[in-house]
Amino acid sequence: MPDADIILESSDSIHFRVHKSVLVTSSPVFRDMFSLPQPTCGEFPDGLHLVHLYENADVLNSLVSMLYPVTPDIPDSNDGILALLAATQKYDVVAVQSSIRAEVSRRKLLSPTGAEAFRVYAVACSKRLFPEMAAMACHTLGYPMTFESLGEALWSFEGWALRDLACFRLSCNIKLSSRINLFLDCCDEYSKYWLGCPRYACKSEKSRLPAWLEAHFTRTLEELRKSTHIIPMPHMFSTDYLMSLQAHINAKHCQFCARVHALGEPTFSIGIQE
Amino acid sequence: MSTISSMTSRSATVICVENLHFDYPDADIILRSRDSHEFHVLKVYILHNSPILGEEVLIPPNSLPSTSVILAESEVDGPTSADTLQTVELPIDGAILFSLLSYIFPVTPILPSTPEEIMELLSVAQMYKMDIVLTHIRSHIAEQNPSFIRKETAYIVYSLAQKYGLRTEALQAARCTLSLFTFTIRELLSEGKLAIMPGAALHELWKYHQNVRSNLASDLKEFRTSQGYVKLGDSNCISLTDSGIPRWLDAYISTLGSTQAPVSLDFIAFYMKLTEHIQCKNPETDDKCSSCTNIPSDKIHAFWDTLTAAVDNSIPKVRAQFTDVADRVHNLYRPNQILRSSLWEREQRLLVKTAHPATRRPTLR
Repeated sequence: MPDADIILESSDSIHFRVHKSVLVTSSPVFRDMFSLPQPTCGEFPDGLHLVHLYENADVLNSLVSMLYPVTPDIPDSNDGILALLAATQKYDVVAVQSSIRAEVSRRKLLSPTGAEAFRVYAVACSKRLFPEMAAMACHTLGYPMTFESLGEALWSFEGWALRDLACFRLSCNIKLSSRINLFLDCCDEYSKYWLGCPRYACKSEKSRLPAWLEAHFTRTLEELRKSTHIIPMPHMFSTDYLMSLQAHINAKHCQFCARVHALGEPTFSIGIQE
Repeated sequence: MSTISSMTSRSATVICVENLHFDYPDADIILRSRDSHEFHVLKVYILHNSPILGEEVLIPPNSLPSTSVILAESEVDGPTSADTLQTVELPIDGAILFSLLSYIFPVTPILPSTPEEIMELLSVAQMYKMDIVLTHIRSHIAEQNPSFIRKETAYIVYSLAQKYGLRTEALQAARCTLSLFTFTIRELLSEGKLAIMPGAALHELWKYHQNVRSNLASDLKEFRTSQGYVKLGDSNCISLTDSGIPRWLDAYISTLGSTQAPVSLDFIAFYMKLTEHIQCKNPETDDKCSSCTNIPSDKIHAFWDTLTAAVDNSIPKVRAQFTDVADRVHNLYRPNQILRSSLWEREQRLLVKTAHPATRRPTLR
C-alpha cells in the first residue's frame, strides 16, 4: 500500500506493507499492541516497524484485502475459509468476520460432503469458530458417523469435539424418535393427512394410520434405537418409505395414499428438516 | 510413613513421602521440581542412570550459561559447602520426581497412586533415557495387584501412553480394550470414553481392533480347516457344515473375529452355545443331538485350550502394525522434544531477562 507505515510479516516470511491506522481502527488487538511503546531502531526494512504474525501469506492477503477498499479475496477452500475466520476472531476484527460469513453464505462456500463435513467440523472446533461448528454439526447429519466412514477425518478431531458431535447427533436421534412416536400416536399435525386410508383396516383403535405407514415408522424407530451411525442415513430412511408406499399402491391400488404423498409428502419432513 | 535407605549409615530420615523429602547424605546436587520441591541427592546416581541428564543438564554452570543450571539462592549470604550446591530445575512435578528418585537410589521404590501419575513417571523415565529405571518401574508395575492395566484402566492408560509415546503400555492397554466392547462411536459415547483421547489416537486404536479382528478371522478360518476341532472327537452331530464341523461350533468360532462382538473368549458363552444346541431337536427325527450331548468334559476342555491358544497366538501378530502409532500420533510428545522444549523455554526466559526491550520484536501468537 502507498504510504504504508508498518510491515506485517507472515509465517512464511511474506511482507505486507499496510497502514497502522487501518489496523488500529479495525482491530482492538492491534490497537492495544500499538499502544505499547514501540522500538525506535532495529533491523527494520525501509525504517518501517516489522510485526511478525503467525498466519501464512494467503490468510494475511485475504485479511488485508478485507480491511481495504479493494476486491475481497476470500479463499475457496474449506481450510482457507476457516483459517481466515480464525484470524479475524484472533484479532477481533468483528465487522470483517461478519462480512466473510455473509459472503461465504451467499456463495455457498463451506459446503463439504461426506467425511469432509466431519473434518471441517473438527477444524472449526479446533479454531473455536462456533457458528461454523454448529453449521457443520448439522451438515454431518446427512452422513453416517462411524469409524469406517470418518476414516482419516478422525485425525482432525479433539476428543471433546468428537464427543460433542456424537451427543448432538444422539439428541437429534432422540428428538426424531420422539416426533415419530407422536406421529404414530396421531398426536401431531402431520398424521391427520394420513387418516382415512380406505384400503387398510386400522389395526388398533388408537392409531388410524395406514398399516403400511405404521409398519414403516415402527421399523424406523427400531433402526434409530439400534443404529451405530447414531442417526440413520436420510436416504435410507426415504428409500424405505418410498418402497413401502409403492408396494402398498401396487397391491391395493390406493389412490388415497398416493394423493397424500403427492400433495406434499407430509410425514417425511418431520424431524429431519428440523 | 517414611522410608529409610538401607545403604546409609546415617540414622536420619533420607526420604519421606508425606512432604516429598529426599535428603541424601553427602548430597552434592539439588534437584528442584516444577512446583519447587528440592531434593538433595548424589550426582553420581543421576549421571549413572540418565545419559541425558548427565550430558545436557548436569553441566557445570560456567560452561553453558543459558541452561537451567543455577546456584542456590542462599549463596548470596556467603557460600558454605551446603549453600554452594548446584541446583538443577527440572520440568517435573515434585511427586513424580520424588517417585523417580526412589527408583534411582537404593531405597524402597514408591509407585505413584493414580494411573495418570504412573504414566507420567514412565514418560519422565523414558524422556531422560533411564533404561534401567524404566525396566525397574515396569517390573514394579507388573507386580501390582490388581493389575495396573485392567478393564477399568485400559482406556485411560492407552490414551496416556499415546500422549507420552509409551509404546509398551499403549500396546498392553490396546490389547486389554479388545475384550471391552465392540468399538463403535455410539458405544464409546455411552461408556463416556469418547472424549478421553484425540481422534488420531482413537483412529489408531480402531485400526488396531480392525487388524486384530481381521487377523483373528483369518487365523480361525485356518483353525477350522486345520482339524483343531477334532479335539472334540469324531462328531456325528445332527447338523454339520460341509467341512464336517458341528454347525453350532462353526457359528460360535466365526463370531470371534467379527465386528459384532469383543475380541475375547468366554467359556461360559461357548458352553451356552453347546447347551442350546443339545436342547434343540432335529426337525426331521425329533431327536436331540446325542453326539454333542456325550462329548466328555476333558475333550471339551482340550478343545477349549486349543482354541484359546489359537486366539492368543493370533493377537500378538498385530504388534508390528501398531508399534508405529506413537510416533505418528504424538510427535509433539516425543521425549527429546519435551526436554529440548523445556530447555529452550528456559533459555528464552534468560534471554528475555537480559535483552534490551528495543531489541525485541513484537510477535502476535
